[in-house]
Amino acid sequence: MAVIEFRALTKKFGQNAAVNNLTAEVEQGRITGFFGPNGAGKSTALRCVLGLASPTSGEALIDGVHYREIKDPLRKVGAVLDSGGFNHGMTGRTSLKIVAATAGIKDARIEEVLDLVELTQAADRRTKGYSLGMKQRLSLAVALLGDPEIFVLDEPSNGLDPIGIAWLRGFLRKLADEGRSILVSSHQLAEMQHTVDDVMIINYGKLIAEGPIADVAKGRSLEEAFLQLVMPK
Amino acid sequence: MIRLMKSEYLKLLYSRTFWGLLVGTIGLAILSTAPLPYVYHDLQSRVNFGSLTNPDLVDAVYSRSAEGYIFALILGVLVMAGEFRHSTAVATFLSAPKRISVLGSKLIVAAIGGVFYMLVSTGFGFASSAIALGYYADAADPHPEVFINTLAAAAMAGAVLAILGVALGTLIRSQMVAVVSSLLWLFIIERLITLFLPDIGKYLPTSLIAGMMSIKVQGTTSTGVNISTDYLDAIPATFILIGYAAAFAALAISTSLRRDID
Repeated sequence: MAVIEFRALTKKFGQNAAVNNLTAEVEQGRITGFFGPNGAGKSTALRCVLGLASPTSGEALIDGVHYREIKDPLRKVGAVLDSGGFNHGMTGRTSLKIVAATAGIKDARIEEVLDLVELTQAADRRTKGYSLGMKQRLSLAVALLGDPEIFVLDEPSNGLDPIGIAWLRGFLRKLADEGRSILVSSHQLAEMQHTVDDVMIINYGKLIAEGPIADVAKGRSLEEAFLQLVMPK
Repeated sequence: MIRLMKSEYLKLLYSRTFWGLLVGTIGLAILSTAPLPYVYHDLQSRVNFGSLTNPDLVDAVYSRSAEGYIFALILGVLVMAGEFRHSTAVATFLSAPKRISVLGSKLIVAAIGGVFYMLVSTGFGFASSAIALGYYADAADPHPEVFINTLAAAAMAGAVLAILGVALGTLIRSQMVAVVSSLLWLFIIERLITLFLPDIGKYLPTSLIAGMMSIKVQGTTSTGVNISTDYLDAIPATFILIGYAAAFAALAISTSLRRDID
């Protein structure tokens, strides 16, 4: 069953199509890797899914509806789009409290997610002093606040050190094992090979490969398959 | 909507800028009132304002307590443009994707914040006026209605200008550009229009705020230049200001509905 659907999604900026007639699905309970070179249109497609950008044509749906129609979005979808989305004058805990207030989420859950992303000790520090990795963890904490069943993560491993990346891998696997669905974009192909179940690869806004990782890689590493797909000889 | 308003309230409560602006508003109210009795007293020889024995002039001192309205405008700008400055707009619209609700809650919370700024600062302005006027034994007592007029005008100005600020912050996402443009408008362009085209100027926000206070100060300088002020009456001025707020709120909402969030 598809939890996220791109239906002939096109997003143009002027004459330039950042996403061009993208049709693809993310299956329930699986981790789907969303790959493509810089500027391929991954982030734009994810922003269309999350209602932050309006498609020029086509649509992107979550559980059959547009994101803007979801009644309690924080409890349905957890999203990480960038790690800079915090007021640097506020603490991590306050940042979570502000987001939690929009969904009526109790303070106890804030403590839980801080614990889950291992940020409890730094929670009362201003985010100005956070490393990039800490900001990524805080972004993940925001995504987890509503205990959602679907995650949309745009390059969540950015800024994480090897320990953080290993932690993220286990973390995503744990979420998927709980039956949650995850759409994650990344440039860390070697790492993602051990994390994802399915892949979607786009280039110049167009889908060029989709399916279970074994079907797309065909015995090659994910990185080799990706390079051959986006840079055919 | 209530949850969104709570979230917006928390953003203000935990923002150091919010409290810094409040201090600025209070400071401006004090600076706008405390020196006035001395100024009026000293100007008597050059400008025929009358003296502090004139209750109208004493009223004018108290009415300047509501001078901090520019900070309500800046507050409104920060409520919206601050989201783009700190890149928190994405998180805000992810947690509440119905933009009309987000804008609605921002407009309401900013308006409440603007009223709060103005009532607190006007209170300080009244106190500083009373202290400064206390140094002049012959100063008349103010008309009792000046206090309620000034408080009402201050509250209305705070709400309206905060709403204008949110609209401005929605239209101009750069916080700095939005703040500088609003300062240029209020302190230079609007005052020039009021000076040279008074028939148009009296319909602009600053003059409308003065009109709401029902202040009439008239005088002629020793060079013969008439410096009398001619504002709309309080009720039409109030309704026009509310009209400004409604028009700009509608503009902010329609702009937000169309735009992509970066």
